[in-house]
Amino acid sequence: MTIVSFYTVKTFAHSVSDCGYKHSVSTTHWDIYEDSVHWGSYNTALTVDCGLFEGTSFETYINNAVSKWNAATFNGSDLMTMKIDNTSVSAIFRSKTSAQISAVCGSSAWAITYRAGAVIDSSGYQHYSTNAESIAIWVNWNDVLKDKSTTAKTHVPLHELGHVIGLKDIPATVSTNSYLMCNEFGSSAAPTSITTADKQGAAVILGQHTSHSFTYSQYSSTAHKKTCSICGVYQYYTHTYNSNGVCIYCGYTSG
Amino acid sequence: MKKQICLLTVSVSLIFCACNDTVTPEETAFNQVEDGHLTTIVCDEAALNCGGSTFVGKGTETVTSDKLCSSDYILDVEYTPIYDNVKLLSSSATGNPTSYEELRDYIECYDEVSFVEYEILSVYSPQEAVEITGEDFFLTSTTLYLANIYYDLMNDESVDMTVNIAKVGISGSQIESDPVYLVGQKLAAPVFNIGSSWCIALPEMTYSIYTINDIEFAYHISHENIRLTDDSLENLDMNLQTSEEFVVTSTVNNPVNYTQKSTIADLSEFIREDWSKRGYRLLNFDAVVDFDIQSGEAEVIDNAVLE
Repeated sequence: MTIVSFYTVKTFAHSVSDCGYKHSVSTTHWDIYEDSVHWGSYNTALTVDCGLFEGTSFETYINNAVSKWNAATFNGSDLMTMKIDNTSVSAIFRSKTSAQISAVCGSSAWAITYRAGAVIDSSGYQHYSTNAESIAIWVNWNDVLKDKSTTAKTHVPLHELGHVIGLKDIPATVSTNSYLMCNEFGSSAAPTSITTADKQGAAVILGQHTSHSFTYSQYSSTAHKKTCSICGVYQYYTHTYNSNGVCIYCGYTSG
Repeated sequence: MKKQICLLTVSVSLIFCACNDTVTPEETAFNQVEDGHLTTIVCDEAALNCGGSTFVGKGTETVTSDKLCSSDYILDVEYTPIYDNVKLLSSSATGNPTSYEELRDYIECYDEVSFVEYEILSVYSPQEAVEITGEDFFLTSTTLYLANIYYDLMNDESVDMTVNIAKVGISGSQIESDPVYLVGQKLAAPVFNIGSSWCIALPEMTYSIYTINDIEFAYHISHENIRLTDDSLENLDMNLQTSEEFVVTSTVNNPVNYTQKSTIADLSEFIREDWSKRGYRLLNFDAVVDFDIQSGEAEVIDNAVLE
């Protein structure tokens, strides 16, 4: 008897765990906010305002960061639209002091993405709207960043826009600077490019990744691991044996 | 300096006196009052002989001693928490310092600094905080506290100054392992921009203050990466007992994580020496003027333009 299984592939615009799959930052090298503080969708242009940085040297870094995200592709398709637009603003850069940043995040920092204006959507998840004040990137320019290297100044807007999209930081236990969303560099240089892993995570949280390509690998004597080769999400399933005692998915032989 | 020599002399004579007799393990430490200051003779347990020098508590010249036995000074405190089931957040700052050396970038940006002890007197409501400071983030992420600065650890003298101190965390959401404060809590931290509306205590170097067996200790709150070390200061990095690492203070589901234990004397000594070496300008409390912590946005200073 042949057993045919059907399953529906769900989009991952919000929590990965909602769809019955897991993701581990140590495996995927991307991480997203499971409470989905994220940009609306890949179909909606994310417009960026330089704020008080317009006309300053930091504006160049912001412009370059926007261009990079706008040019990014995922699995052969455009990842999202991002552009500078000071008239119709989704995200705005703000000049803040060390004291102000410490007061809201509990840490000294070059920059933070300030999410106080995130709204709750119909699914109960937080996301950013096109309200100008709903997304602010606070930059500690005067006190610290203006005296830092070109690398640091390149990293900050690129990384913070990743947070606006919905990507979380990558801990040093995974990597200090191999991915854009790393934030514990130590003595390593801050990353300055969007990697494949960063784009995978962005595609998941933006809801662009709708078609998974699963591979199977043996995990244990009772289960195999089903992994999407495009975005890295996975789940464990018990073996399904054929009449010869071989798992029809991973080839594990029982007994 | 004179005071230091005098005390050392006294301590040496006492040690010689005690060493005339065989010291049993039970007699390794005793307290007595000398010139109005509590002194503790600490014996070198490893050698089973009296060999330590005096340790003098805060309020006099700080003379550090041989290493205190951390297990003789274990934190045993019980708070009455007022919150539970709060949302726990991780700090997602970019470029946050991962060492004390990196943290100095953030200290150097201030004109005047100080390291003080303060006590939480009361907590402002969010609306009061916004009215006082003009900052909306007191409605969503941050609490403003009324505090009394009672000791200037850099100049080693008492002060009496009331300030408003901002700290991340509210009743509904807090940074994990760094809960909101309770009235009556005593802390030590570098403070900046002491002004008419609010000031900030450096988050990475904030310590809970406890007195254990008449000695003041500083327990470093979270930020494990910011670890202070100095081989010449025996009580700067003491062994933390397991029971001391997580303590429930204000919030049941968010115990504070203590990551380093020091005597306040050695901690102050470290900071005083390090900041002096780097030329930081110490705040003179007698001459404090009202600095304004920027509300809203700061006008951008552009190096490229200045060039």
